Amino acid sequence: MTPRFVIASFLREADVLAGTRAARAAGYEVVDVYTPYAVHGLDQALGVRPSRLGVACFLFGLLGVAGALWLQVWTSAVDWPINVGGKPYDSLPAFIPVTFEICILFAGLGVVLTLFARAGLRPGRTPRAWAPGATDDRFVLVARLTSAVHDTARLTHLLRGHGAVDLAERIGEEER
Amino acid sequence: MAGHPLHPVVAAPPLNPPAFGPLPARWARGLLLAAAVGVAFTLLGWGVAHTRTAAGLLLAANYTLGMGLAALCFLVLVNVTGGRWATALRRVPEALAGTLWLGGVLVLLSFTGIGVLYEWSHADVVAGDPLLQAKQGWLDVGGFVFRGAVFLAVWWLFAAALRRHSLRQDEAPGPAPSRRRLVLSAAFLPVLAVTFSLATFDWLMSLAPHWFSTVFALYNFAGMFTAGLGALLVLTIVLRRLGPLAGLVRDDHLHDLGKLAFGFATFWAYLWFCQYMLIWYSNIPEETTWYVARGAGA
Repeated sequence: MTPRFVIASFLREADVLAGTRAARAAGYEVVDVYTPYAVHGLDQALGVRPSRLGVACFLFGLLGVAGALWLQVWTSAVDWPINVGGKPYDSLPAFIPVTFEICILFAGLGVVLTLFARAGLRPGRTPRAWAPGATDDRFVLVARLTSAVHDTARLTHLLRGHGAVDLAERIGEEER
Repeated sequence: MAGHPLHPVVAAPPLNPPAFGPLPARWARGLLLAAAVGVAFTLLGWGVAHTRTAAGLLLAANYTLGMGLAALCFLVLVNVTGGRWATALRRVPEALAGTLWLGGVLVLLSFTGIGVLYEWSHADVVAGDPLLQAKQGWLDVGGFVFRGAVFLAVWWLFAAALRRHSLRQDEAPGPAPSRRRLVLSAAFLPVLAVTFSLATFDWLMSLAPHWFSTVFALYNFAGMFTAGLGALLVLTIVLRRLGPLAGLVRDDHLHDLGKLAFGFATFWAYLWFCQYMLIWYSNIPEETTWYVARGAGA
């Protein structure tokens, strides 16, 4: 069935934390909580899994190391060997600084681009807010009700009990 | 938002962490036994293999001192950067910095090995060596011992002052002690940079008085800080498991400490390589001897 969303605005950090825990404990799916600043303990309350961006970071770093080493060995020892101070053509110590820097560059840029791609951040995207104030002074909780047994009224009551001040319901596709 | 009353600022209740009981008797006995065995073997070695024991004592003294000094650096950095995250575990580096006196005593004891460790301490060796003659103004036994004592005293006095202002905050909560710790720390940072570099020149680099490296003191600092962060992590994890820090130190704190340890371990390796690569590239005998000796084995 078409997913229904309940959007609840809270005024206090502690309330939105308690509301998130209560909604999840009651079996509702909390899609996300939008806050004006990073709230400590929210990741645990939401049950967010550890980020896998580290894997992407490592792979990009590895790619940088391999690419930088290949480029330097090929240019200095294979394609156009140059004698520098009597050192062997393929002197690894001399290649390490460039390899290190390229590794950092690839890992840093790669992980940011991966984040943008995964989060759907791109130029020209129209930002749509779930509720006014989500980027100002409100803590906005968005819960998704997927099955018929989920009762909007019960959830609304639950969240109001935890201090939600504005509640709205929306029916339709999930917005990203 | 107009119309919504601001919620009142509630004063935080005083923290009452579980009391740090004395170390379990079994542990205390085991640790004292280990210390007694160490002292006995040091005395035995002093008679049997004098040079080796002196070198071992120097190494042990510098590592022991390094733990306390690294913990002190950690506190100073946290104070200067306004890092509130470390408040939950601040007592651990403070206690570790409290071991500075022990490291200091060991360093002073290691001075008894000056005659066998440092070739510049022999007048006849210096007389036949132009380079050592040029360095004679700095490398002489009296100045060496005097400087060492001054460095140790300065570090210990500062650690004690920092500790006093931290404990004062428990008695009378308020921002004043934090402010004092910030001022003290900011003043201590340049002092530490100079004294630690000079101590490294004296105690470790002058073991090879013909060798040149401008990055060695910084390299030594990176190694010391990495080891100190490791000790800090182990102690924090143990205290969290045993109870005193359970609930106060969260996973996030350990992650932050782990990131610092990872960063400084990388920095340590970075500096090692900086030193190695420049010496490898220029290939000048007065610098390469250090690596030739270490590449050949003991």
